[in-house]
Amino acid sequence: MKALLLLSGLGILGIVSEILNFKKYIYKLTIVGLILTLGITFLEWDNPAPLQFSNMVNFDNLAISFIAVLVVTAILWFLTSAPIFDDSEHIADKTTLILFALVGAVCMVSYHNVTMLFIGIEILSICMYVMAGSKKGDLASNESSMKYFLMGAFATGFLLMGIAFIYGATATFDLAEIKMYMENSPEHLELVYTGITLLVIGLSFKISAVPFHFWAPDVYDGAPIQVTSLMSTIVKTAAIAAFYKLFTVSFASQSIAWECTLSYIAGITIILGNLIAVFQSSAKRMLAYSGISHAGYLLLAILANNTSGGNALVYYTLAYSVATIAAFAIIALVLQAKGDTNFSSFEGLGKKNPLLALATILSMLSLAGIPPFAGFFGKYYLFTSYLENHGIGLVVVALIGSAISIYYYFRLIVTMFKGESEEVIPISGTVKLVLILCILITVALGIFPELLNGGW
Amino acid sequence: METPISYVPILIQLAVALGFVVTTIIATHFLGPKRKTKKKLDPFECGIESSGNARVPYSVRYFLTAILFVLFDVEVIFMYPWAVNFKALGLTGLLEMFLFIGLLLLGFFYVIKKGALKWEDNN
Repeated sequence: MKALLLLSGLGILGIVSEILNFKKYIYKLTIVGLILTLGITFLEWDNPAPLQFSNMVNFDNLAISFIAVLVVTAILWFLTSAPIFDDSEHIADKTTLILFALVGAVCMVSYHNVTMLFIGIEILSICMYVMAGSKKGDLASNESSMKYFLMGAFATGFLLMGIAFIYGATATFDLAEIKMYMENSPEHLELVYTGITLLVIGLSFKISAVPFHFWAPDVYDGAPIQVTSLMSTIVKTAAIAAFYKLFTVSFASQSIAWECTLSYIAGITIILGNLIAVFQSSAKRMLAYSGISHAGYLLLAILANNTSGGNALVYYTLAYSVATIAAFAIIALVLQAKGDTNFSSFEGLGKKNPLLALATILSMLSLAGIPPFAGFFGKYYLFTSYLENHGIGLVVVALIGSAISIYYYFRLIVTMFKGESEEVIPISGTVKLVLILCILITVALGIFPELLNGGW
Repeated sequence: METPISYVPILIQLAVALGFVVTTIIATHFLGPKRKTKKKLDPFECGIESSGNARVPYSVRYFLTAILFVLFDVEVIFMYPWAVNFKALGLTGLLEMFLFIGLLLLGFFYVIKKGALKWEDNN
């Protein structure tokens, strides 16, 4: 709960900094505040009374782990994203928007009441719509913002309708009460099933699972690269955590209503996301599609329908976020130096830029799920949690998808060592720090996977 | 017991509402006298003779002011239920409302500082 209050306070501080003219310090203040938030989050571990604010939010250990993942990602993101905070006029606005997006994300991972889920999604989404269009003069950025807004609003409609149907059946918004209703032979099954299906659609939109993914590549491609990085890490983590919580807490006993649909969604997402990513010529767009395919893997944790699915989700989102932040930081550097993000811009960069090359190799290997890096154990935990009470079918599909993904992740690595280039790309101190941190986290999580899978 | 039949009154109400609109539109079309002169067919503009095209671009500040108005208007609406339950909510309610108004004011100062309400200066 303190994390939620602290982050809101930081956001308000951003507005105050605009009014009282100390906005040039807000970037540093934010990073300090986020590190403080991370520390305070862990103080609430094993909280004896996780339900707070009249049972609206539930800060149990799973929520706290997700908050920790979000805050760590946010710290790494802020350190890599100094370029978008360069123009002094809008620095306070952007910082505030990102912080409030983080507040929304925290609501989404810690809600205990479906209204809180909705509020969280809206807080997060509205900030992201604005951030997607934050490069005002750029037509692609405008398009991205508009598309994101229209599709996001459309998806929210489905979500709200689903919530309304569930409320119609159960007469409550509380997750525990919904769970009780579902377990005691519900009377209004038709309302429940319709509601669950609409919620599946709405939330699949938010995590950009196929066939609700059409907005994602254009939005990710058009938005400024730092915002894309934020969208494919924090937004995805929050959305999948919300998805997991709603379905495994409240609808676990009615899994017959959603298991089959969601299995197909996961399977198609994995295969299609990976297949289309193979044919991309721009690294940014390739990562957008790879983000779609990762949404498919993450769905396995929801299908697992057990607590080890949640643990696997925390592990996977951390591994994925760290690798993605590093990958986007590298692409941003290349974009700054070369002017575009096509694969050809990466040619030969590996030879003269050892840190860049190492970070690319490790993050790509981690995303592809090659042992012994974090991404491998993320996938391993996801698959084992799924296999606890399911057959092998979907795991085989996921493995085929991973095999395809190796092609395009390796393509970037190979391109970096192909051809000749004497160019040395300048890397600022903070980005260097982030790349080294990402490398360390990826390797450490891979070598000591038990660090994070202690069971909570 | 709720059956589909119990929703029939809603359908009837819907039919009456739609029917009233359609009937009045058709009836006035036939009943009203028609004397078409140039003056009568002109768009009405507060009694002054209309001039020029209505589709001209105008300052984005109108939108900005309108949106800000709606924002603050909606937020102020939250004060009505609070005022009604003032005694029941007690001191906690008062403090929460102070916090709420404080944040509202903060937003207002932010808007002023950003120059969203400045009309003269075009930059």
